[in-house]
Amino acid sequence: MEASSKTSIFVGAIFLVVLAVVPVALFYAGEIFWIDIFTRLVILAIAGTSLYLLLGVAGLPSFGHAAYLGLGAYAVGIPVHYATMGGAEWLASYNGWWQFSLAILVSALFALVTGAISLRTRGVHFIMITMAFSQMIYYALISLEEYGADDGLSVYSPSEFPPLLLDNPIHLYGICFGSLLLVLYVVHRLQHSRFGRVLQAAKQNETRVLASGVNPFKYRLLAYVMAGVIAGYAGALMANFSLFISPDMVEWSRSGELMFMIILGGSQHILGPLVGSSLFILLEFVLSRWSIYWHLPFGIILLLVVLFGRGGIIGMLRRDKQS
Amino acid sequence: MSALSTMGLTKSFGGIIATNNLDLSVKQGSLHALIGPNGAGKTTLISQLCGLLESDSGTVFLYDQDITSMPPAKRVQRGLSRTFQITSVFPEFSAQDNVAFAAQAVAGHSYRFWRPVSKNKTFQQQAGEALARVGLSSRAATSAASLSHGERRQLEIAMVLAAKPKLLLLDEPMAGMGGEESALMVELLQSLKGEVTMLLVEHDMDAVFALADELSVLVYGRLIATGLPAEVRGNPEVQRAYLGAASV
Repeated sequence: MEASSKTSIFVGAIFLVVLAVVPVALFYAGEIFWIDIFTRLVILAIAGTSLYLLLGVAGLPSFGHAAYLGLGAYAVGIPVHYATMGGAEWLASYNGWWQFSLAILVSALFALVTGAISLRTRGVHFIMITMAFSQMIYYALISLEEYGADDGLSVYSPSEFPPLLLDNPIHLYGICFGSLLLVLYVVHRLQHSRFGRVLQAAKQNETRVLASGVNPFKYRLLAYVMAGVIAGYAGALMANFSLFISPDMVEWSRSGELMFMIILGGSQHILGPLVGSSLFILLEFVLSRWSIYWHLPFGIILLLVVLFGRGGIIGMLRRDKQS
Repeated sequence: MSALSTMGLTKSFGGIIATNNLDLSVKQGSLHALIGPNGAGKTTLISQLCGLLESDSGTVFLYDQDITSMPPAKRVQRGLSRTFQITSVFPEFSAQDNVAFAAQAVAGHSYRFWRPVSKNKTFQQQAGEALARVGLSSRAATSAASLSHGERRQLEIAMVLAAKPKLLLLDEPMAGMGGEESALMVELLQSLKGEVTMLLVEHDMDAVFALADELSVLVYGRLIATGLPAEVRGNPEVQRAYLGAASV
């Protein structure tokens, strides 16, 4: 146990150092393409870590987590749209504080309402209902002509956080990476707090939690809202990164990808999503150069990891160390 | 005074009446054993008492408070804890963490998001004491999944003890145990007598007669006899229905 947690800390430290140094070094060496790849990786890792709070800690397999990425992204895109095109004075703004607050508020509300309903179900039903709610957002966005419907919406100008400039790739990457560190730390603390214990206990044996004197429902709902808020925040970063948003961000297969990343990296360890999203981005990059049908080998690799590497990449590392 | 009593408690599943207009009273400070053949409705009754199963009619009193419609988690906060016929613990937690969680669960709300539980001295100390009480101190760091069946039973007792219950519902704590393990459990329950009021459902007759202050016999959801163990043992109806004339 001791040895295995040391391995994980070691692997995690390597990942974080690489993420802190490599993209910045490449950028100043003139390889500006790489920072885009790393920024996307880090944003996905933030979203993945928020899903880890549900899936890994609380055992709630939400299959609609991409909805929050979309809500967060449109909370940036829509105010920018009005600020550029005119209209909706109360909403229109380039101000990042306003946009990000909006992203967090909308995500929290959506999570609160849908969570209060979804968390009354278990297992497959929970998976289906969370997916259904996220598809509702998908179809809502597709039918909103005002915001480009399925053509998507350009974000003409990134969020303004003076003196930081989000159109500077290094600044944007710094904010994303700093956010990832903060999210990892917060989720780590949550996981080991009294609150986290209730979630973990309820994941293993709900009846025993009830028989111990705690009704886990409200704790789960709160975790659901927290995860939604973090993912919404990641969505707002995503809008600033890609400067183009579309309903595709919310499609159910995106939620599936988030889940894949966690399973690939290891759903039982806080660094699983980071390792998973890194591998996801790497495989996508390598395989898509090799063939346009890269999803096939990608799927096979995922299948192998799920079949033979229970606990994902981190799980395999930990087992090697133990044996 | 009764620590726990029921009046006209009833529960049926379709056409089967599992609990039939049952009046039961468990005296404060006593160990009350409940026996009955398979399918007599013992586990159903325990589930009704702890609130995991809703009753069709009748009332349940904890001391003088009507708890009939109180949700299960609240009953635990009021001092009514239970163990399960099939051991119910948290397999991924260590033995220590299992008990620390039980202590945490009755110590107010858990909306505490920052401090690690492992640094909470109160819970850890209560967990240590409860583990020592059941003789599991040396296994504190072992995950519950790696404990033996008997050890998991002991762990479950430690968990309910950490909740500092006034009344304990024990659903077949000796089930599936070997002779030596059973003897340890009898010793443990013996040591709890007087401290906690207990309602014990058990098939192991040696254990029942060694421990019980009072004995009730449940057959088809009805109590056919209640009294001192020796009296009940001699009751002809009980012998016919359950003990079997030859064995007495």
